Amino acid sequence: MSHQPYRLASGGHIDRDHEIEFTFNGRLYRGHPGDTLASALLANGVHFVGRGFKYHRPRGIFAAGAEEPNALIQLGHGPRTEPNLRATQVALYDGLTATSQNVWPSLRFDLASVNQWVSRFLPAGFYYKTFMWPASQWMRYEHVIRKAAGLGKAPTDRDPDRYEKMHDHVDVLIVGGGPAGLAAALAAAATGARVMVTEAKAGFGGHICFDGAQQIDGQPAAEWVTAAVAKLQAMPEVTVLPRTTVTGYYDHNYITALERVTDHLGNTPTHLVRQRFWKIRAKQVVLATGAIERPLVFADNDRPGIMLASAVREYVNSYGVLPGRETVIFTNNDDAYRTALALDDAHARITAIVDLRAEADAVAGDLVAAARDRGIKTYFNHAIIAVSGHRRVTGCSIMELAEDGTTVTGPVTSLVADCIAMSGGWSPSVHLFSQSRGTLSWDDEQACFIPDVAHEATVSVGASAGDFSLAGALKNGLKGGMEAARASGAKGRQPAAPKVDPVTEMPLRAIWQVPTNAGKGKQFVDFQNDVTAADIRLAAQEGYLSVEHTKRYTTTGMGTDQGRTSNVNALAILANARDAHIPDVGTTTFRPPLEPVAIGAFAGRAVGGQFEPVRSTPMDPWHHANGATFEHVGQWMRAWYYPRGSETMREAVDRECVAARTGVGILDASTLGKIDVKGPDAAEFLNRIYTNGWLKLAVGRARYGLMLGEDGMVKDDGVTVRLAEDHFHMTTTTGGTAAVLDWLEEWSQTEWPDLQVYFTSVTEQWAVASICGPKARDLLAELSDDIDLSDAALPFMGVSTGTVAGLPARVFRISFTGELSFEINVPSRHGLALWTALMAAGEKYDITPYGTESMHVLRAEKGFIIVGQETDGSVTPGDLGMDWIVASKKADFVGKRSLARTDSLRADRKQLVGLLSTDPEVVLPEGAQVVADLKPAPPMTMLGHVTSSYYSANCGRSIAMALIAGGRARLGETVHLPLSDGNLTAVVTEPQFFDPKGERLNG
Amino acid sequence: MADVTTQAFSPLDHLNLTVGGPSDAGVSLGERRFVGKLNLRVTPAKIPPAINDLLGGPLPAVGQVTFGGQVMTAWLGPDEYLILTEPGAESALQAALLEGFSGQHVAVTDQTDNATIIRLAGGDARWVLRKGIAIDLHPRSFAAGNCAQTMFERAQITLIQVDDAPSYELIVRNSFAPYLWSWLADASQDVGVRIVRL
Repeated sequence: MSHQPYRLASGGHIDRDHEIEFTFNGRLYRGHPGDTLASALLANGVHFVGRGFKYHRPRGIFAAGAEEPNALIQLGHGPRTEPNLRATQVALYDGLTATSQNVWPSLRFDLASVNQWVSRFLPAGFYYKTFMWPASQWMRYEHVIRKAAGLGKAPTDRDPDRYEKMHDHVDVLIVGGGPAGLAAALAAAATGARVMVTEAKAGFGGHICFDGAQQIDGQPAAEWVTAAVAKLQAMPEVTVLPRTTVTGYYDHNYITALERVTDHLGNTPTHLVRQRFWKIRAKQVVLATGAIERPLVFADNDRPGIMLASAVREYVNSYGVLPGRETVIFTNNDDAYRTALALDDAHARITAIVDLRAEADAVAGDLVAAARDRGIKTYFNHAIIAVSGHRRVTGCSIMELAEDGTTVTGPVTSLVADCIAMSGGWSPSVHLFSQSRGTLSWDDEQACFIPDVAHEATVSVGASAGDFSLAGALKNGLKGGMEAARASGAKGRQPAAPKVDPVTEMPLRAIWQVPTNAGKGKQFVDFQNDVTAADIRLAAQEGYLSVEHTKRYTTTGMGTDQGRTSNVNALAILANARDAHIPDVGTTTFRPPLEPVAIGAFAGRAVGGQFEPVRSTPMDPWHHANGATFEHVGQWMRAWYYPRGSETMREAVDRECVAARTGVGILDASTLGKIDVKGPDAAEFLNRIYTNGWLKLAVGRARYGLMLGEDGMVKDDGVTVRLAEDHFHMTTTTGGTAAVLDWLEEWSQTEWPDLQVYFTSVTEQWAVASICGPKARDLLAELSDDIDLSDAALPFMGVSTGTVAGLPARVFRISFTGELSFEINVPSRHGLALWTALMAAGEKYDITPYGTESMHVLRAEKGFIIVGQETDGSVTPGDLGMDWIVASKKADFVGKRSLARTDSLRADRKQLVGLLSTDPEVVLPEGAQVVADLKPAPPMTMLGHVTSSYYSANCGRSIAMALIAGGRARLGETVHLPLSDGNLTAVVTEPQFFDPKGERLNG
Repeated sequence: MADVTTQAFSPLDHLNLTVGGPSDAGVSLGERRFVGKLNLRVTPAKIPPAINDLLGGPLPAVGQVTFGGQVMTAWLGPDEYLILTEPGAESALQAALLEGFSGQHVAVTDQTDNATIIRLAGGDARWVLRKGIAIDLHPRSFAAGNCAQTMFERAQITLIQVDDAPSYELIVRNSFAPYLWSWLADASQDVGVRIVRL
């Protein structure tokens, strides 16, 4: 034990049989399983663990839980390093390494600590006052400030750990596993309701585990806790989650929680996740989140060794650690006397208790009486006016308070102390209640905010409701749990409350800023963001009256601890400065997450290959085996082009495009959306949804259709085949598939329910190989002996059914290239077989697979649009020069009325045209702005932009399409494209570049 | 030329999955390849008796599945059902259903090749599913005989609980199947997973 000089000989919930090693700031220490990093450091006598945010003053471990503002550390190194962790929450494991953050070059010798000597130049609003001018320099300032403020370092490598999400639905969620939470869980669970209880710490019981010798139903409190947890764990409908912090409370009782699954193990077993992020939908919520002790605001109250009184007690009783050998307790309430008793039980020396209250106001309390009976020296009506020690407190000076408590008087008494345990009263943890939009009210007697009106189906119990007594927590916990269970629909009787001996406690004395006559000491309010009482008073003087403004101006409460220990003190000092009542100053809003959460936990499994589904076609293995490159098309990965040997992309695409027009090319078109349309009114439905006529389409024939929104703008397009009188096979764009099906269902269900028609997605039922080129028919003929491929039997836009390569197939003679072309559809299980058969049979025709890039070029050569490329939701058929497909004589179709709007008919609308760059070798950049008049600098008269642009080997030059204002009237004009690396010019043309008469469709 | 008519691939075939795993695995994972799938659109008030005979009973109620011998029917929507049948039996069933409806306005669409079925079964199956599915899978809300169309993380699925093991069938479009499979295999690591051939 000699390695841990401040470890008590007995006590605590640590595993004393095992000693483990850890490193802090490069130095090796020892602790025990069950320690936190903070308790282990304290056991080794290490208080000084960090430096303040602004002044870089030495800071020590302050608390024992989530509210810790000082002991922020960087855990681990390499890809697993994590910044901003609170040492009080980091479970100790063998081999743990941690360093202080916000120090440079080292904790003991920190250069920026010079700030503490120039602090009068760093007042509230310092950044605003200093770095605002010149505004153009802010980016540079920000960089320096962030470095100086240093909040740890993010890892640069990929996180090697795994995370996951977990969804759950419960009748009653109980947040907090202290006495109130456990009582609520027992009551709710007894009804058979689905209950979940979460506890942020590893152990349950909250304060009763370290508050000292209390009895519940005649047994020690800790045993009652153990029994209660065991009982809950044994119940099938109860989920008990230790090491789980509820991080967010959202609408409709949707709650998120972070479970630290393996953080306490050090090495994460490979089959387990490091953390699990719970997404919980609860019918009812019971908040039993406890309370947080407030510091007292006195001079130099940030010196290492000055801690919350309850934290001192917790280290003694839960970890067997003595934070100091000579402790002064500074309090305004009875609860801190529990710390005195705990220290006394551990045979630790208590220099004195300094109580802000007059003896007459305190002496009737049971705890005060117990301290007196043990002979602990108490100074009533006294205040600490100064503290000695820099990197560790060495003592303090106290004086008597004048009658009104605003000044001190009389002689100074010096007390020796290497630890000061302070208590300024308790603030219920109302953060989650506040997140859920519950309102708060001010409890004057207990000097704290308590939950008032809930917005969600939630109830607060125990200390989080301002009920600080154990008896009350148990009784109201049971009641809250029972009521929540009943409200969720469960039935049962409320169990009897366990018996607890009452403890009489006297009221606290609220002195928000402890008076001093010693001058210079800083009185810290917000320890994490280095905000002092003087800063808040200065802000008030400067007119920052709203608490929200004061918060932002001084940064109080804006640290990662969200002001857990500082908010009420700050509000009270602001109220005092404004001579206002605390509730009139208001309170700030708490926002999720309650505590910092690693990004990995939010991501869960959505990382790497599981970030997004990668959809591929049945022919995909062939593309991979044959050297295809791929491009993303929505979630699809489509073959882009197939380079041979050392071909560049341009060379490969040129070759593919020429082959498709001179020999035979083959494209995997499986991703096209496919919708089966069935019913006696199917033709009528299509007639209304498409701009052109569909009633007279013959069975066995296909037609291209354009779909508009009600606004008359092009929405989708595709070829639809009539398979039978009442049966159509519609194709959509790859990206528009789901939206089109929704669109059809919407019109069917809401506007035309009288039409008898059904829609069913068959996108992936069919694999599609599209072959095109003069030799396409010869190739297909080799593989099909039951389909007549003659022009007469299967003309352009004809459809036939039979077999291809022995596979059941539907063959559509449709073309997106302008060449003789067949789309062969087979059930998708056969897609790869169809493809390989076509490739084998096509060998003698030098069949050339082409990808999406060549597909784009080939269709652009013909001036065929791609919805989403030539259109952007603001383009009408007329804009595209596609009036030919709008059957204006039809009674109606979706979008018809909008096409007659004045705006739809403007002559200067952006219209689709071709652009031929002056230099035929230059490919205009897609998206480039087209202007009428070139000027040295913007603004220029913008006409539109390039929508598609390629090099066309078939045309022997570059080609482009563009949407240009009044473009149809500009044919032949030269336009300019101003670019950052030089200006280009181009001539406006018709948007057809190859075979404009369409003579090649017949091969 | 080689006969390709016997070449049929499911979307998971290319993962080259190895059957096996610990005998005490918390879940088993397997693909049911080429199960016949017929999507039925019909107004449920007008079901001829012949259809009930083919499906082994009346159409399922909201959120439910009916089991009729070789046929399982899942409710998908107020006028939409998914009928699962033995591999290869879909064409005959489709024809029989159309005959049974005798000209009534219905759509019976073959979706056999549109999707595949991943079966996740075992004592920890619910635990694994809850990692990717937001709906309540507790037996009080979702038990054997229930079905739902929902999202599994980023993949749309139809989920059917087949028995109390519990065994679940996840019907997923082909192109999402590899994503779903690898997700489930990864999410099962903590309970152990055995890959089975079904």
